[in-house]
Amino acid sequence: MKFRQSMNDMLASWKMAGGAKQSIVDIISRSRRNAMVVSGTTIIIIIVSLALLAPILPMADPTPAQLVPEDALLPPSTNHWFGTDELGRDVFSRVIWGARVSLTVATLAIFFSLLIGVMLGLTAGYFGGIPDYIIAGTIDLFWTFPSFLLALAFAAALGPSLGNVILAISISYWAGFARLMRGQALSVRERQFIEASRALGAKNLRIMFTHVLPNCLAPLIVWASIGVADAITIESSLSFLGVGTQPPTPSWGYMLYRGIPYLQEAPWISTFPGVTLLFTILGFNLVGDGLRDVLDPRMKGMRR
Amino acid sequence: MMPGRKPLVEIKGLKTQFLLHEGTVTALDGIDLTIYENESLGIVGETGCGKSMTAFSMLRLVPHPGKITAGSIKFKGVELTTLTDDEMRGVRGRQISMIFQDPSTSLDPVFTVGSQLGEVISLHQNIYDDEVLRKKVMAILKLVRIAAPESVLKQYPHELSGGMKQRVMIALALSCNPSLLIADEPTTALDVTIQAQILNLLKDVVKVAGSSMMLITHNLGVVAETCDRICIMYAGRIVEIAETLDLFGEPQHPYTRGLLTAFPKLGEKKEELAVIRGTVPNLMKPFPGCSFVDRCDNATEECRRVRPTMVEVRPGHFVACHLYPPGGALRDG
Amino acid sequence: MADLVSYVVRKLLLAIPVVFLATFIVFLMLYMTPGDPISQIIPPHASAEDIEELRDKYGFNDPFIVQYWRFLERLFHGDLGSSVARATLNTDVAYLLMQRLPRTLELMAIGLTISYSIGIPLGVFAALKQNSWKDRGVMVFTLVAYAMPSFWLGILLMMALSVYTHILPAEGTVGGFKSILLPALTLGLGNAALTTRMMRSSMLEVKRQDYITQLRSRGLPESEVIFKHALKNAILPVITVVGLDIGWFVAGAVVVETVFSWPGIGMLVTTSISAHDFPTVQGCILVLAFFVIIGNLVADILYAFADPRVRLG
Repeated sequence: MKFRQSMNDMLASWKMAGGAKQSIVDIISRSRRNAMVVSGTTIIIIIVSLALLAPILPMADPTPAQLVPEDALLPPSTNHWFGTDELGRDVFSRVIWGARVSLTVATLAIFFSLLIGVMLGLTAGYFGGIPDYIIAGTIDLFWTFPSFLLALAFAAALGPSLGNVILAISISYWAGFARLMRGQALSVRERQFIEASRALGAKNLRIMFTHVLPNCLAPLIVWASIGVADAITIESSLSFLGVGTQPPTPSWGYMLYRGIPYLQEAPWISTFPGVTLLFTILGFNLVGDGLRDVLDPRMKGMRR
Repeated sequence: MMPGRKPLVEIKGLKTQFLLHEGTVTALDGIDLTIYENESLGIVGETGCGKSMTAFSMLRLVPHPGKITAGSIKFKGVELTTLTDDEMRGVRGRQISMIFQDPSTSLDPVFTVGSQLGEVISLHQNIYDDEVLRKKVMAILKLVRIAAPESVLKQYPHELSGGMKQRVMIALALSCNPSLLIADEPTTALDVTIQAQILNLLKDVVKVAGSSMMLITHNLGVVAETCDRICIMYAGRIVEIAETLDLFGEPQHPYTRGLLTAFPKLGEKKEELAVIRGTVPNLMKPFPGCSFVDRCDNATEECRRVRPTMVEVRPGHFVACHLYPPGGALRDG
Repeated sequence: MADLVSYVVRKLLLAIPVVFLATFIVFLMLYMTPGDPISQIIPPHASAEDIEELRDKYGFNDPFIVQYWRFLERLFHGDLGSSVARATLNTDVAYLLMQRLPRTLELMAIGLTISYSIGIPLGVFAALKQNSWKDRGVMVFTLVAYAMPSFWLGILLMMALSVYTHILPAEGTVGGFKSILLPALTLGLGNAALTTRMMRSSMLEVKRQDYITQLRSRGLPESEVIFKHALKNAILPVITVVGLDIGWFVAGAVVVETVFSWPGIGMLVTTSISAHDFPTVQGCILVLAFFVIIGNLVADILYAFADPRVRLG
């Protein structure tokens, strides 16, 4: 949604550098020195680990079959690190399990977008002509449409469920990846070594995969990282509005919504999921932004 | 240094360096240069030799993270390196002005030609009356031989051709009658057909205005046409200065000779283009001796250890090379 | 002038397919909704043939394209259907939307103002103080504000300014200027982060340009170089983002209006979804999409106005 301009910047500087392939070692070493990448990766590792380990962590049941109403609205204590919610459930456990939901939805959604987008983008850019015209036009159409609205429309129409949310986000997101790949494919197509490859008889598909794709790996990762952050935002927003993850499955967005009436007497119900949500999104954004800085050829070395 | 001529700019021991965290790049390594009134001085050298940096240092516009780290620049007797920012601004555009290399990136794209010219004139001459300003702008546009000044006034830079843009740049530079006009590669970005026109224009307007010109270029052909004296720079140092005819007729420094032979001449048949072997040295590594040592066919041990000083080998002809030791007989070479 | 006009016309023409896409998606929504579209109007004790007849009568058995065409036709006449929510049964959806539209517009206008009033000066400030701790502070702020989902920011602000301190009312329905402040601030602050970043990077980019050094070499005072020349050049790309901002705002409005119970179109979306009032949901999405498209158009035109180079391309 919001980072269209930064994508343009990146494409522009990428074009300037002629899509120069920087050595992986170089990239990794510079990433290690970049504060944003380091802090973002740390956050992601923490959250992902917690999410993955959720089933075996010694926590309370996030969706207990039997509710204990007397336990409702308890403030944070050694028993309940994040307190309990309005139905007596342990907030900490729900926050961790909520991470599973958000991360699963986001990564799957971005994964599908990536697949569709890369396929279509490569095809459009590499082959040109009519397929390019059609695909490029479609890309532009979906590009302008705000992804949240699209996701909202789909979720509302198809009924709220995890699968639908993933579908909705994928449909609105593929355009960004497609655009990136198309641009890369277009510029690489004109390069000499493609001609050489063709002259040697390599088939189109092979060329696409072995030459074009590796060059684009870096911006794809940046875009995907920022995409995951965005997807998490969309999923939590949809859950907040009630069209995303349905209760009793814990979802940060929904937990925040349920906490609104209790802001004064039990702020922890909204606060803890909110803070965790913020950190997760921040983490992915940091990695994406940081990597972008690392990869931006203009940032290297001296000026003038 | 030259009898009977008043110096306009006197640069002594100028050092300009860039402090990066990878190291320090010495763009100018102790430059001694004098520009006299009413003369055209050409500064010639390869890319990166410091020619533009000399100009920027004179105007104190060295881009960050660069600084002038040593030396003095005297303009009409006034030391420029110690002026305040305000005082320096009074010098820029009014006493010394500069034409940049690429006219398409040197003009503010969102203001019209007329407004940019008017801005400079009104700033330095304290004119605020629109009518008077307009007349002055028109006058200067005519001076640089722009065909339809009324319409050019209202146009934006991107609507003009390369040659026109460069004329506008010259107009901007001359609008307040500076004593020194610096032209940094004024024709490099232009079509060959336009180059001659612009060079002639430069020569004429400078002469008419009675200013001095410092013409920076890598093209020997350009300076041959336009300059009275030529200064050859290499790796941040000056290696030779002489009057034009003298330099072309009797080049002394091995680098100069290399440049001249590398330049193909009309009517000459050659099998191969002569090149100077090697590449420019890394400006981040300080070199105690002569900077040309790795590419010079006459290099000796002394050349590697000791930096040569500027010696006047003929009247008005200076070289910095161990082939010409100070006060001594010329070595074989 | 002529080039400006042709540019505007070109952009308008290009917007038309996007509008169609919006209508298509909205129609698709209804088409895909599980459940029988005529379930609301089946009389009791109807037999299977009766139901089939009803379907035919209302055209629900016709092919997709035909239904879509009819949908477009009705749209063209301003008929967006009637609400099926209990509270507003059979009210014209168009009427409902018209009622709510001004509220959302108000919110967006004030939000945009806040966003730009904060974002532009902050961005310029950060650019001028590049790499100082002030600059880094600004960057951290933008990172955090950017990452924060609107509803969470809304809740935080609600807690800070309303629940615990009672400075501003939390419910938008109270009325008066004060009640718009919290939702507008939420939207504005969130977008201010994006604006600041854009302004900063644009300013940094412009400062590096040759013509800036040229201007200095002419003796212009630094304040004029920066605020007259650099700023004018730097602000252009930020203006383009206005259109994209509208898109962001629209998405944000849906959430923020719900948080603060602000009676605009965004809130209508949420309540209609809960009430399964699909005609209304459709209408809302359509209107919101329209907003975005117009917003982009306006931004394109503004940009052409400001930057003479764009009109030729």
